[in-house]
Amino acid sequence: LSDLPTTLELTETELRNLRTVTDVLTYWNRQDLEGVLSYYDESITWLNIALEETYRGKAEVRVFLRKLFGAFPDLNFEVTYKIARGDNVAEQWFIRGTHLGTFMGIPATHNRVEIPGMSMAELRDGKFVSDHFYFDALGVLRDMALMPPLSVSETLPGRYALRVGVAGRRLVNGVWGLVNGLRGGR
Amino acid sequence: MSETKLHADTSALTEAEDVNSATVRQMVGYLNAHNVAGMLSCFDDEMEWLDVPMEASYRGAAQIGPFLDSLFDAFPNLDYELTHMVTRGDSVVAQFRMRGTHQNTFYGLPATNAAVEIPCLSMITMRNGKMLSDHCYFDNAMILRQMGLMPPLDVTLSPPGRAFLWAAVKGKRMAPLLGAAAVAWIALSRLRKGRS
Repeated sequence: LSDLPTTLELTETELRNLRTVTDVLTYWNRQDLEGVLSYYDESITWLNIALEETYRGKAEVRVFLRKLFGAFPDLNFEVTYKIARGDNVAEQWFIRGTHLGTFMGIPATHNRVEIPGMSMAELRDGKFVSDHFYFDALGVLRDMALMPPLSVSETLPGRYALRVGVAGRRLVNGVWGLVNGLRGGR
Repeated sequence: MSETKLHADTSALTEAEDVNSATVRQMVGYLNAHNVAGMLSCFDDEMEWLDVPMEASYRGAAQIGPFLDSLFDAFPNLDYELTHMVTRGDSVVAQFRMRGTHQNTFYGLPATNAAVEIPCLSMITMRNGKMLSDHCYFDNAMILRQMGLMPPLDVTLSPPGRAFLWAAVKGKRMAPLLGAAAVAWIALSRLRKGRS
C-alpha cells in the first residue's frame, strides 16, 4: 500500500481555493472587516457551531465579525494545517487575541485567549459560499478565567461539585415538574 | 468551465485515498456497533486519539481501548452519523453528529440522563491505510447546556444573564447575589410564559 501514490496533482480549482484561504488571512490579521468580506460570496452561509448561530449573506457575517474584531482588537488567525478536495477546504487553526471587548455576553477580561478550532469550507469561483466553524466555547471561558481548568474535575472537590451540580439539576427539574404538574392539575 | 474535464483524472480519489476513506467508514461502522476490537483494528499501533476541547490524548490500543469502553459505558446508545467526508493524500476530514444518552459517569461527571447531540469535525491522519491520529473538534459548552449544567445561550445573553457575567468579571463577590436574581428572573419569565 505504501508504494501507491498518496497525493496527486491538485486541480486548478483546488489550487485557487488554497490561495483564497491563505490570502484572506492577511485581512483577518489586520482586522480588516471589508477585506475579509471581499472573499465571501453574497450567498455565504456561515455556521458558527459553538454559538449555535447561522449567518446568511455578507451582512450577517459582517455583524459577527464586527463583534469578534471588537472583542479581540489584536486578533490573530493562524492556520496550522489544511487540505483541499474539489470545492472543499478543511482547515485546522488557532485564533489568538486579547479579550478587550464584550464577547458571548462577557465583558472584557483583558485575558489572552487561544482558541483551537477547525473549519469545513466550500468555495465557488474563489469565494467562500459555506463555512462550518467549530471551536470550544468552554475553552474560551477557561481562558477568560470564568471556568476552572479541566483538571479540577479529577480532584475530589471537583468531583463533588460536579455531583452537586447534577443533583441540583435533578432537584430543579423535579421541582419544576411538580410546579407544572400542580398548575396543570388546577 | 472545462476545468473539471481537464482535471477529471486528478479529482478522482487515488487508490490509497480510496482505502483511507473506506477505513474511516469502517471505523464509524464499528463505533456504531460499539465494537472496540473492530475500531482498534482500524488504528495504527501508534494511533493518537485527541479530544481537542477535553485536552485529552489517548495513544495506542492500551489507552484508547479503555477510553472507548468508558465512552460506551457512559453513552450506551452512542451513535455517530457521518455527514461529510473530504479526503486528500494521507488526510481524511470527517464531519459527523454524535448522539447519545448520558447514563453513566464520564470525565468525572455523573449520569445526567440527558440526550445529547453534538456536531463534530475531525482531522484524521492515515498511515498505510490505518488511522494514525484523530484530532476531534466540538463544543464542550454545548454538551453542558444539553446536560442542563449550563444555561441556554438565550439566557446567557438576556439582561440578567449579562448582568451575571458582568458581575462575574467585575466583582466576583456580587456574583451569587446577581446569580440568584437571574435565576428568579428566569423562573418568573418561565412562569409567565407558561401561563400565557
